[in-house]
Amino acid sequence: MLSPSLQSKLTSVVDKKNVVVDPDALRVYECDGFTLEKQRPEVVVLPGSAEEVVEVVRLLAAEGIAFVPRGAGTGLSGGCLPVEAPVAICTSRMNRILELDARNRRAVVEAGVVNAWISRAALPHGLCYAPDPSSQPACTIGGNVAENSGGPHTLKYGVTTNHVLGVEIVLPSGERVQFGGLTEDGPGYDLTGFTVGSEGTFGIVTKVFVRLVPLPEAIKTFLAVFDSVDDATASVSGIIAAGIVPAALEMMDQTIIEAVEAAYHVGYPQDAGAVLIVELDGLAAGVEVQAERVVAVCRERGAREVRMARDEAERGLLWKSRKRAFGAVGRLAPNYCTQDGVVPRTKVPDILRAIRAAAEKHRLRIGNVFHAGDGNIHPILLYDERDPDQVERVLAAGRDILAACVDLGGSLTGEHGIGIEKMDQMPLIFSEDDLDAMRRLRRAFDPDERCNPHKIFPTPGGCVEVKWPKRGVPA
Amino acid sequence: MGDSVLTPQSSVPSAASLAERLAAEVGAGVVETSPARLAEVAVDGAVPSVLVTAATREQVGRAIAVAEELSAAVIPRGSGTHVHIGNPPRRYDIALSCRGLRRVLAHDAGDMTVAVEAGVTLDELAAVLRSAGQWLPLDPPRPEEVTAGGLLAADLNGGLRFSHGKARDYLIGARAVVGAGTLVRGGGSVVKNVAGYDLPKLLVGSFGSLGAIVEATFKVRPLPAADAWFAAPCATLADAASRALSLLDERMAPYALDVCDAATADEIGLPARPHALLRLGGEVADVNAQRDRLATLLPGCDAIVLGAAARGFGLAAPVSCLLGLLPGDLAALVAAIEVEARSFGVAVRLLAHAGSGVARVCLEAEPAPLPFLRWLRFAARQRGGHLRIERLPLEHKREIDVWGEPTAPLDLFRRVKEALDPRSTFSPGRFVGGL
Repeated sequence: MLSPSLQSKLTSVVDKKNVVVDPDALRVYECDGFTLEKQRPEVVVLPGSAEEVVEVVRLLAAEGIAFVPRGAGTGLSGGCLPVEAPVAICTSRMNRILELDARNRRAVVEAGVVNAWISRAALPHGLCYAPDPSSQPACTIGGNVAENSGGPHTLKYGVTTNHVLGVEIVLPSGERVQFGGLTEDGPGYDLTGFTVGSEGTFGIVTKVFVRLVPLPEAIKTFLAVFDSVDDATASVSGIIAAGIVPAALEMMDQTIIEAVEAAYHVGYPQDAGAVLIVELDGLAAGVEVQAERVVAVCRERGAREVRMARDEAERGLLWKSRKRAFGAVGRLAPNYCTQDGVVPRTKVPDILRAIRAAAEKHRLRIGNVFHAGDGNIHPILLYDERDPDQVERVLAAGRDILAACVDLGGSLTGEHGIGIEKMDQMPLIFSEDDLDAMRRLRRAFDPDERCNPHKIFPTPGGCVEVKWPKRGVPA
Repeated sequence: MGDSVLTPQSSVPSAASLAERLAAEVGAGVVETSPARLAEVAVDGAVPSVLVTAATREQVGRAIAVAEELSAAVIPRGSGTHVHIGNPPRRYDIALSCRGLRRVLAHDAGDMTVAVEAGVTLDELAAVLRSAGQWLPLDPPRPEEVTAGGLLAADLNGGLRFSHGKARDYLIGARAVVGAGTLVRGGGSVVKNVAGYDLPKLLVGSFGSLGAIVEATFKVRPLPAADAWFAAPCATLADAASRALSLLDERMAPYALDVCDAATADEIGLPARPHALLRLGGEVADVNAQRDRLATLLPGCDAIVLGAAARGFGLAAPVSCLLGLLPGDLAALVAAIEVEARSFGVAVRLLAHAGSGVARVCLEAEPAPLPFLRWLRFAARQRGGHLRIERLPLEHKREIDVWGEPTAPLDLFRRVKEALDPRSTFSPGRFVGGL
């Protein structure tokens, strides 16, 4: 338990209403989007400025208390689950866009700024912030930095790390420092690039310097309907082989189509085996040429129908159905677990077969909605958390699917992070020397491992359940 | 040996014993000690005792293990085109060439990824990719010599960075041999991957101070159907810069947006006047549409053929530095450079990647360049930018910090280096802050 004196010190820094200790109120903070594991923090602190973050972190440093950074809590790997860390520091109140420099295509924002707000602010200047995770109406840029978030449009535009030029971070010592900034090529190690994707284990990012990109002159969005997933994946390969890098190339299988159609009435045929959403953008002349090629490729590979969004409203509906597909599956089962794995793009048919096999083996229903162009799969495992046996089967199927990704030359996560969820699988892709080097680098920033402890790295001796008895008993 | 952490200058092994141990552990054929060969790999006047040309990552590992055992300092190198960047080395016993690691490990055209060993040159890599209609859209100088390892270690980029990003944006996985000869890997072979810390990002721009890069995996892109340069002569350098930057406000998507002064124009085969340079690429229709727009946006603009000289600009100059600014500040600063160069009495040549706010500025060795460089760094700092001095005669290197103000607290750089290179084996003293 935190001492009452520390609690009162925290209150003096951020005001009483920004220190959450009421057990009911703390429920909100007991997990993120990965709901298979839950752990309530003792205290949640919501600082309003980097100065307040510094003061809070110094108080914790003085007593050697561990803490977790938290943004909007939309993470999908349990990255902000407070494991043996009594305090969560939530950046959601630090939500100002500090600077938007249209001429230089830069913005400086506080960590709690919601991803979509940046693009909204940049829109009048003909610019946007490119990485667009499906949770973009809620997720914060600080969380995006922690996870190196992606999104559908990262196929062409890259992920968070390709758009972040600098960060201000409060180290676990309470020291507030800046890495990088508005200009590029400055002297020294790329600590900005190294911090992006560090899953909140280096400190609390308080400010982010981002690059903005110009809005394309033209956008064309297509829906291609296929009888089978294999035809759809063949079309993905065909589009890439035709020398086209679409802005986005997304696939949904029949299970997801059914849920999405019921929720949003986009007009997906219920008997389709798979649909592709293909978005092209760029200069109008080139988009026109590529559009013809994309349509031809899809038809050649058996597309039953290729439909172009006629206007912004239709395009918006397509994207809404895609980005909210996760929510729509709520119609199919009480709970779902979204997996995140990556395979080389040409191995998509193989991993889909492996997913089908896992579904059969573990007697589960699994839908697929994913970034086909990147080979970044998102199987959605449906279950009912009231049935402990189903929960066990979901966990086992997830492990099987990830192992299959690794066997196919892929990775454990494309954009959700290792978090608490996948730490024990890290040895599948990294050697002990690799992990040692990473641990040593972590201690360069956080010598006591007090910031977001027990994440990313496998626990010595393997099974987390042994080390941390609370684990594996979903509420 | 154990004392070397505390007193890194001590117990330097004799050249003969070092060569002998390396020959025994790594292989007799890969160790050279002839004075002529060693002179070729001198760095800032420092000549090593031994040159090791490794052919495999295991040999790199064994060479580094021997180096640590004997407290010898190692400077890793590829073709050596950029090994001049940095402070003079504090110690230098072994030149470790990775030029012999020359295999293309995997090129999966359908996956748009390629994995190579560090010694593969960019031209060799380009040839492999071209056969599948692909490219790595980076344009550093001297691709016929620059290796994949050198590209990354020295973070080499060209004008394409404006549209396509930098080396860091294409590197999806890397292996390096770090302290104790340990092989470590970060990233992987898929285009999207957030498992583990992004070690590859640390290696890019580490200038041989963390370890020896031995393998790299890149994501690649389809070769554009059209790719062409256009140039417009301008009255002044500042005019060229502002005209180039004005294109940013239009519906143009240039691959590169560069400017150069009259002397540089002459050097790269254009009429000796300041120029705005524009690279257009993509679908043929895209290039044609933009070319048509250029007739009004950039009058006097003509298609040109830009040779390798432009890409290699400044590499042979006795003094060369890299300026980083916000793009919008570049026009004002290049105008000031023209004026100040005259008042300092120095002859300046300049090529700027204006769209990215980056410029390469070159001077002659005489008159003494330091007063001008100090002014230029001050002017850059005033605008929130920085100046890295890359090529400079040794006597001047001792009088100025070639790197400039670090982009993060030096203490963190030190701790990061210690995490991978605890005994300061790699390029000691050469990196930012004398690390």
